[in-house]
Amino acid sequence: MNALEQLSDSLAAAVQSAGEGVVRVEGRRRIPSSGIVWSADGLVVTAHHTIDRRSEVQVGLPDGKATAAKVIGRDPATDLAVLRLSTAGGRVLKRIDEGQAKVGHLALALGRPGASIQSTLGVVSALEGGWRSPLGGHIEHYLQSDVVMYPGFSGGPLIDAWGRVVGMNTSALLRGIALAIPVATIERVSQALVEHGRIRRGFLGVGVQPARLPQPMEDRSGQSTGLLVASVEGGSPAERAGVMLGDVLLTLGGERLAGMEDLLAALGGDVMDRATPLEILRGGTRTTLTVTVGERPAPSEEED
Amino acid sequence: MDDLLEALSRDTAEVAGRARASLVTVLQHGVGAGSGVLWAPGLVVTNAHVARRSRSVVTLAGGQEATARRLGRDFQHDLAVLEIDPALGSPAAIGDSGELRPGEWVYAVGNPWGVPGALTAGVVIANGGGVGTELLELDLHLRPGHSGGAVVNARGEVVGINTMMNGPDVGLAIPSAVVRRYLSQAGLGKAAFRRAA
Repeated sequence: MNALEQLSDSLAAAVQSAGEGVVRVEGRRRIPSSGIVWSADGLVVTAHHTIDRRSEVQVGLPDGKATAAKVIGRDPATDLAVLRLSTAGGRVLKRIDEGQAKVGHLALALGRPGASIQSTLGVVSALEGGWRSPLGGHIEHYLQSDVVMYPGFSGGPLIDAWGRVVGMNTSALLRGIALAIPVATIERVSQALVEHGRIRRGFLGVGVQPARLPQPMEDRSGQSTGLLVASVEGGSPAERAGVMLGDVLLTLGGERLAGMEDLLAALGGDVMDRATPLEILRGGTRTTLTVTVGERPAPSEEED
Repeated sequence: MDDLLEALSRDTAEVAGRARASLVTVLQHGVGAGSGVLWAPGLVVTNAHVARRSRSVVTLAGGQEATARRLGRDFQHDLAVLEIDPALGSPAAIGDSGELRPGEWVYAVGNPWGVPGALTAGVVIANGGGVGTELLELDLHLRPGHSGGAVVNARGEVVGINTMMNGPDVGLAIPSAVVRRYLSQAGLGKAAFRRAA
């Protein structure tokens, strides 16, 4: 066998082997999606956006059997959902360790929208630090590949040449980009979903935009920008705390709010359901309000 | 590592050379150019949507031109068979599409946008068993002019005939097993065999 035949053979073997850890998830009316067997006792992770509003789905196992599965938790902000199979099956794949993925590595996307395993090939295109999804979910790495996301591939794994899971592919979090949710995020979020059924994120109820602070204030505090309040939702924690249009938010719970990212990070932390100081700038004066951060309501309509 | 990449590049060039040797251009008056594969001596397999007319001009890999007569056509499978002078060209090595596995490396050759012999690489997404199709679903870019050209495996054997694209990134091909079945049902299998013998 020449090098090319060996490569071809290895790719096919990797797909076949890793395919034992990929299931079909029938969670929507159109084409089924894929899922990754996450634990030997029957946990499966998949893409939240491929499961419409239902609490139970059918899952097709690699050996061809079908089983029912309960949707035990979902997090739209990271596009993750966790299922528990009524009959455990499939194989738990090895996962990549922190730092092992590299830009340029071969990457295979696996999916099982039908009975048999399917695959597309590409490379890891970008691997960056943590970022926040459009819905405000913290994702440990920005992981992008150039694999073709064939219909039904969302929820399936991106694997490397060693057959290890690098992440879960989703085509919905950022449109038109083959984005993968890295293993670290799946581990953290799936654990929280198993424990609480959801990811709690803080909710203030304001629309804000970054604004430059007056020079004297910057000189005193070292903070050059704050968040100018452009809207306050009726009945929201912000309104109850007395936040008004035109206020500039400076800190929440002592955490500096210099940009949107800071606010999302502060709300993602443990700040809910208790009195928290919210420092603002109003009419040129620093004032501290007391706010009780609530829990962000779930998005009302599921995105496809 | 560099050695491996060099070996892969070298092997790719070799496979490309073999795939191109049996590739033909099918030119028809008023229809335009498609591709075809010299399947056996004197027998060119192409798409039904390429061989719209009963007569066409076939250009072989070496640049020779030959007039071709259409022997048969099957719109259901988008296949057509043309007959040329059996002394011309070098026929392809035909592989078994049934052995193709998802993830396996494949190349498509054809004349996309009129570029003769252009090569594109990818992997098998699914070999049948997909959504109600017996076509090969391939993670490679097919373009107008690829139609009727060959999909070859890593050994350079023809395992399919390009037929269409499914969106910009996915190519569909008729498995070589379906071509064989069609040839034998149309009574051309024996002809192909006799010519080859």
